[in-house]
Amino acid sequence: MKSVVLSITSKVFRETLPVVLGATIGELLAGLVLGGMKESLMLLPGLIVLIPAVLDLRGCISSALGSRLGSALHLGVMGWDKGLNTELTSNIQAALFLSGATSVFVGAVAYMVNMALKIPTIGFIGLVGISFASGIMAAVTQVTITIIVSFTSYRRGLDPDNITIPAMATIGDILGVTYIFLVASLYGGFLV
Amino acid sequence: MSEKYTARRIIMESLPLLLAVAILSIISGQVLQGHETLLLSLPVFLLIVPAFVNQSGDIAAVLASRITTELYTGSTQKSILKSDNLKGSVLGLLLSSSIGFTFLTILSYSVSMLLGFNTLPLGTLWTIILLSGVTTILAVMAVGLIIAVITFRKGLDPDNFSAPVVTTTSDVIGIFLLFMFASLLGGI
Repeated sequence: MKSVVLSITSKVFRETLPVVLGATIGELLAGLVLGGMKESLMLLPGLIVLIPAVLDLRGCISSALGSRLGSALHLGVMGWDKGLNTELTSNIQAALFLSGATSVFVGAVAYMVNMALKIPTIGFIGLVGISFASGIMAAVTQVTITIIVSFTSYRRGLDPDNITIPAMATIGDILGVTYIFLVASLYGGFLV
Repeated sequence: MSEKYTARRIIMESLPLLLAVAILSIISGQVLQGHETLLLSLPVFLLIVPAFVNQSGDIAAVLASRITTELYTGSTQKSILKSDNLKGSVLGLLLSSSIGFTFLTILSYSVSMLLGFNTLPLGTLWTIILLSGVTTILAVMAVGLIIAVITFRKGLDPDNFSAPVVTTTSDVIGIFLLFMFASLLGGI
């Protein structure tokens, strides 16, 4: 009995430790780089209200996807050998739809909060548009990487449940802020 | 089993939770701005907070993800609460996160020294991060476990609920406990 517990402990420890250490370095570096981007984003008033919510939602959609893929791989209904079957395409469609719908919602709520608190803000269409465009771009990238990470770790004999969510959290934060920065830069014209 | 993965089901189960998260994080973003003065008085916490919150959420979400898999594959004959997988997973995650929090302490202390930020002594910082980190993880793991079991029993897909709730609640609980231990032990 005890040896079963200990072998699980050992596998979980060995597989999560490298990801946790890597995520810590990634998050500290991201903090330094993203700080600079966030300062530029201040140039478009009202946008800063959006960012924590966008990052939280990216994390939610991605961790749910990672959790579903982990279960599906263990159940044998998905994998590199199964290709783009209906189970996988349904997951991709759902993740993209949820990203698009929630991005519009966050943009709209952020606009209303800005109005209610009298925070200076760019227009409704601008805020919702930046949120939607950057949300869809981040989602496409993130869903692709999530599938690659979980499928590949499973094929290599690692447990995707141990790896996918921690690996994607840091990548998701970086993607989220970078795409908002890119889209907002095009909108505000301060990059070009 | 294929019924678990229709886009419609995933969307219908996820959307209410996501909309709630959107509203809550916009509101908490406004509230947290009040803590910025506290953060700025000790800039080492500016480095620590994002990585700390991230790591606590990740570790608890790994447990959530493992438990949902266990619920579906049913590799245990006993109740999930008494399963070897739960015990082994929690132990393994506490080990790797203890090393992770120690690593975070050393990194953020070194960077603070390099950049000339105000910081606490290394030992105090380590105690604060380790105690608040482990407490956060245990609390959020319990939340994830309860949600996984309840949603699974109600015929919902726990994958749509447990990990997302865990990553979101760890932000709030983590920041609260970090500042609580910081004011208790660091005299802030």
